[in-house]
Amino acid sequence: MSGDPARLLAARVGSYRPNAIVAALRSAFPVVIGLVIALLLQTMIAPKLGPFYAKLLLDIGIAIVLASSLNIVNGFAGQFSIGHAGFMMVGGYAAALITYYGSIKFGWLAPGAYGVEVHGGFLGSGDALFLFSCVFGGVVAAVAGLVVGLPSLRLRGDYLAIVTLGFGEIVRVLVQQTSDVIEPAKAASASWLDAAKALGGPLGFTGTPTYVSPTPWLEDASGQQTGHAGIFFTFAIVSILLIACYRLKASSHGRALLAVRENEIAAEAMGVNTSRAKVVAFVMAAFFAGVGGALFAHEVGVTLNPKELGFQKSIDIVIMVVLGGMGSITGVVLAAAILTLLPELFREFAEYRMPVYALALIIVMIVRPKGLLGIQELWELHPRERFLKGSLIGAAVGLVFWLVLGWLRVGVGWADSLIVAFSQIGALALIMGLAGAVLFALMLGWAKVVAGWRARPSAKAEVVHRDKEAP
Amino acid sequence: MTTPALEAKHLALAFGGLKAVDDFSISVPPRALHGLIGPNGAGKTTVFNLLTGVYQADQGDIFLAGQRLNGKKPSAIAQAGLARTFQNIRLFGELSVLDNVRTAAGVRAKSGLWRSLLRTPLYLAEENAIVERSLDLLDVLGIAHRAGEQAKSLPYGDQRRLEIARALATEPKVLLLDEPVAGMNTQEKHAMRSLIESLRSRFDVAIFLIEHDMGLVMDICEHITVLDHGVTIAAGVAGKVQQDPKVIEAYLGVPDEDEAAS
Repeated sequence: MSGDPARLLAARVGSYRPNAIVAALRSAFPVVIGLVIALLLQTMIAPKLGPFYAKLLLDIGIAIVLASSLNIVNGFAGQFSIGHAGFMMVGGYAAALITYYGSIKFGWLAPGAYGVEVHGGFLGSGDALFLFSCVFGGVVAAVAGLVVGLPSLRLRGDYLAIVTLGFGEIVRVLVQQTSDVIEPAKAASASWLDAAKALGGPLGFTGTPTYVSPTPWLEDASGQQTGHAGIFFTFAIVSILLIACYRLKASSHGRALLAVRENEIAAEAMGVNTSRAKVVAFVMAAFFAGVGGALFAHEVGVTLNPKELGFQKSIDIVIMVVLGGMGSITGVVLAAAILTLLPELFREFAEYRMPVYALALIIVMIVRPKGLLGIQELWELHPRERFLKGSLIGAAVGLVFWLVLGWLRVGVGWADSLIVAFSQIGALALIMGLAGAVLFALMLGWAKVVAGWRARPSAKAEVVHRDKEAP
Repeated sequence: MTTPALEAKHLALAFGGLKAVDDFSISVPPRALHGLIGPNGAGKTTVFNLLTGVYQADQGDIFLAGQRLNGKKPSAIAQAGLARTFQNIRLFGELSVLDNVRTAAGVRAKSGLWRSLLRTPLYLAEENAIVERSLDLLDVLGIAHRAGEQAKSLPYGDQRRLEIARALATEPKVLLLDEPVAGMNTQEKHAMRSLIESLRSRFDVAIFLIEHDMGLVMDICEHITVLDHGVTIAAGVAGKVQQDPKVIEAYLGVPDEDEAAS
């Protein structure tokens, strides 16, 4: 903290510049780690989970892509967009157009093999097409984001929400007007324009190859590989997105977005070009929503149809962001995972699914009105003692729920599905509470936990200087 | 004669039929300390909003070190070197104190979005320089020990200091302070006063301030402009302005005959 403060910024930049090779390695390192994790999930974890939970893992990955991309606009820039499913739909249909009609036209999908991929294997020709379609879907969605964002980002709050809502509905209605998908035998001779007009309409885009499936390297009777490394692709994209989000948040650009969210007038007065910042955020979010849509379009067990990607889907994504904490990357990831898991776990208790889901939301919003983590990241939470204690209490409450309701179910024989649902929630709370406790305890250091438990230090004892070591 | 750091010529702005500012002119030389005073509703903050591009003037020109600012967006004006603080404090409340300053210091960063996402050497060097400079600024303003706290959790006086630090982080040529000591006690005012005086030479910046505290304005400002109902009623050195009958009238009203007439 020494030196002459009057020295200008530009003069200082020269004094510290890391070696280009070191910087490149450091820059690539987290991406490599992300890819390794994705590969481990695909090869080690997914086979153990079985098809149902492996599919859930895929769902979680796609939900993370959608929620985290919306977090750039809703969380970082503070612009309330509720048309995210619209961008998802644009990206999804653009990608499906490429993979379905593309693979037929380029001869990569044998005519007649309706919806069954012939080319498989890791990074086979089909996979390359799929990856290209993801990027293409993202780019088309980003263009749509630019077209919507440029005129409408001068609007604020409710008005912007209405415009984005309208955009989502327009896309949905447009897609509904298209005709049925051209069958593979005829598709080869159809022009691209005709193909673009035949997106399945209200029935949905049937027959898209299921690249995003949890079962890789499957072999059919003739010994040909049919499966796809869907989990790897999904989580590779998740890690790239999360790294991009983190780096954005830590950079001047991200702080400019946060400044717009906090106080637009002050941000403008400090030299932040607020309209440009907002458009950049909007386009970036639309791009990743498009990629998420492309993943969704090729997911196994999913038919890309306009009904599913309507207003309700947009709201689901918004809830993930609000619940996780607007602006918190880790919070939104957590919320996306939990909110994808909850309804799936309670599928058997369908009649109580929505009330329980709603109740869980209400409780969280009462206990933590700014979402799980507010604007902070998991590792920034202070005071950690309190969060450790909170996690333990959560785990204890979960344990009690689980035990009492389990006893009611087994001991008393009161096998109402509501009871089962609540004991499931109890079990989930127990697991999450324990996980949280371990996490915060690790962050605190065990020794400090033991010492802290005895001495009970004041909350403010820890002087926060986290930012000094960055970047 | 040197080019004035900030020059405004015949600025005028009307909201409908109400003339908020009429024929306002000022010339602030480099490193000067000018004051703008006037009763409540005289149009002082409107003048600041005109200078910083929040409002567009109906007439008149604004020059910053010879560069014409008319029609530019507030962000472009800030980047040109005109920074301000706000009467009703406008911090980035949820962000940390350091991040508030870093945001302002970062607007001149050359590395674009791609460099930031890829973390190139230029980006790393710039971010490092931004952090260092921001901490130095907080040090000068005496709030470095609070760098990690949320801005909205700061006590009032420190929030004002943070606003000044943030404005200085944009590397301004001219600093506009809107009531920097409003709501402060005598001790705080005294500290703020010496701080304001020290900023000029330290950061090579001209200061133009609005203030209701007459003692402070008369003591530290070399030149004072008095506004009333949008009209400049007096301008000059402190002693002269203080004696001006129009100024006394604006602040205290006119005795006897005026009351009899009404």
